[in-house]
Amino acid sequence: MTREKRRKSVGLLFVLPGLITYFAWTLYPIIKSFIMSLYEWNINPNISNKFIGLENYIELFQDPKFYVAPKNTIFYTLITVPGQMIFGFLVALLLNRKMKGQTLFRLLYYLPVVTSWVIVSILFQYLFAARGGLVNFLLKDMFHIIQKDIAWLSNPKTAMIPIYTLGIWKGIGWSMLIFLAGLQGIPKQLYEAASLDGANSWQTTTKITLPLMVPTIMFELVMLTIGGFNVFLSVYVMTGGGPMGSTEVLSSYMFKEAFDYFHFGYGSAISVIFFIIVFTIAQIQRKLLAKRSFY
Amino acid sequence: MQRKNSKKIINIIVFCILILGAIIMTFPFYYMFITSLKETGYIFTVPPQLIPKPATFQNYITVWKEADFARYFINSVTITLPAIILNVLLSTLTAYGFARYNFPGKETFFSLLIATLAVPGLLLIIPQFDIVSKIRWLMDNKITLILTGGIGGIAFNAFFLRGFFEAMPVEYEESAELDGANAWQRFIYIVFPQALPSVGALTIMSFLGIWDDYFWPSLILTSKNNWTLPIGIMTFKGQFSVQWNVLFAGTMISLAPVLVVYVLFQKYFIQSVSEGGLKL
Repeated sequence: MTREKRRKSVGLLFVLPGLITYFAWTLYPIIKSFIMSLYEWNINPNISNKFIGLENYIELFQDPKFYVAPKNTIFYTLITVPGQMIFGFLVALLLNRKMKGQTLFRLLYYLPVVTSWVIVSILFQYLFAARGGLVNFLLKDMFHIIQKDIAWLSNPKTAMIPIYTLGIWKGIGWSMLIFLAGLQGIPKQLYEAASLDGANSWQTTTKITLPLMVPTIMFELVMLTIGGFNVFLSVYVMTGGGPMGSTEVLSSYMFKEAFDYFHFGYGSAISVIFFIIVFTIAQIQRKLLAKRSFY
Repeated sequence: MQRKNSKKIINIIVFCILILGAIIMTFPFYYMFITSLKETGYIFTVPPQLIPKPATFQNYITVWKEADFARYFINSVTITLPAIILNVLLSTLTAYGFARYNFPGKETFFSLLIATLAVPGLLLIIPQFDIVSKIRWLMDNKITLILTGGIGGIAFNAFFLRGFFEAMPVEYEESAELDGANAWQRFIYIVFPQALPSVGALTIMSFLGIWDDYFWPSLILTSKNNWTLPIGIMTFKGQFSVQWNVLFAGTMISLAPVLVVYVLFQKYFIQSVSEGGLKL
């Protein structure tokens, strides 16, 4: 009995450092950001914070910028998530066979994933430069798709395109790896049986591979959607939310309010709304996931 | 025979598509690298030079010496290394405690950890900054970043490792216990070596997260002496007119350690993603 008790306290000792820091640095800040959103919060400890109830939220819903940011965030997610998944799935299908250079291909496709957002965002800003940028050179001088150089990042109509492109390009490798892991989990016998029955590769893909990949697909959907809503550095680096606020996303909008204008309460209100959106979507997707896995 | 031939053709087509894809994924990096070797006048030539001529190493010297990247590099290393060690230690201890021991409230605590996995990091940054800024000693101090890097992502890591520890055979630990090894000794000498593949994957995730972090360090490290590479890069980019060739010399310096680790330990990278993905 005493030995059992001792084991319990030893277990607590193992998890305690992790749990304490987790409570102090994750759980407490989450609660605190809800509280801060109800205040006119002051970062200077000598000035007291003023409780203003829901005023930050009321102001938020009257700010026209607040409607641009969620719109851009949603579009970004709607475009980049399927983009990453479709390309990732195709590459995974092509790579999921005995072939030379499989490891090398995997290494190359995954390279953008391990590179930091700061670096690839700067790189894409350079590639999409109006004069002498590589993208304009390819489109205009090499393939003659456009007549004139496009000022991608300084025109509100086109400024999101480089951001979408980067989002898809950087995520394909991750999506591919997850799909590969899923594909390798499908029993080989199923394919052997199907090919004995004379099924062609289109049939095996749609009738065996896709249905069995549903859990993996749903997992990617949830993770990439959360990631999409968190889009920040690519916008911050490439456009800074401009031109004329046209590329502002939720996180860059929140960042500006908090750390450029020092509206900490207001910024917290944005992040709370942000949190509610992401959390709701994740829950809905998880529900769908639970239903679908009855296959 | 015909079937064999058509299979061969398909294989060749697949191979070509894969190569085209690989070019799209990697050419931007090549382009960044060669731009870092160009002289200023050759940055935006039409058509772009694919092999820099004349090639120069001067940009690297400029960024390393004049733009102070030598200092930023050292700062990045001094923050990242201890933070990784702290992070791996805390995460493995937590995961191991959850995997092998019973204590009151265990599953409640664990589901609390899981519940916050979907919380966007940006939600936390305002209150976290508020906490740090109220303690003057923590501001503009590299130790703050070692600590915050060290305790970051523990929830995910504990979740990632717990299953791995649970799947490990318990017999070795039991026989070590009979031989008189205490819990700490068992953890260090028996468990840790067995867990090395997963710990390796964790170390790499931790390394990338801390080495590349820009946003949080830029809020904390206000004086130039303390800046890390990402802050140096962003500040250099923010100057009036961007010197792309010098800037890319800077990004190459920051990317180089990541590339080395990536190529040497690719197995662990793959593992960290596939395992983390399959479990969630």
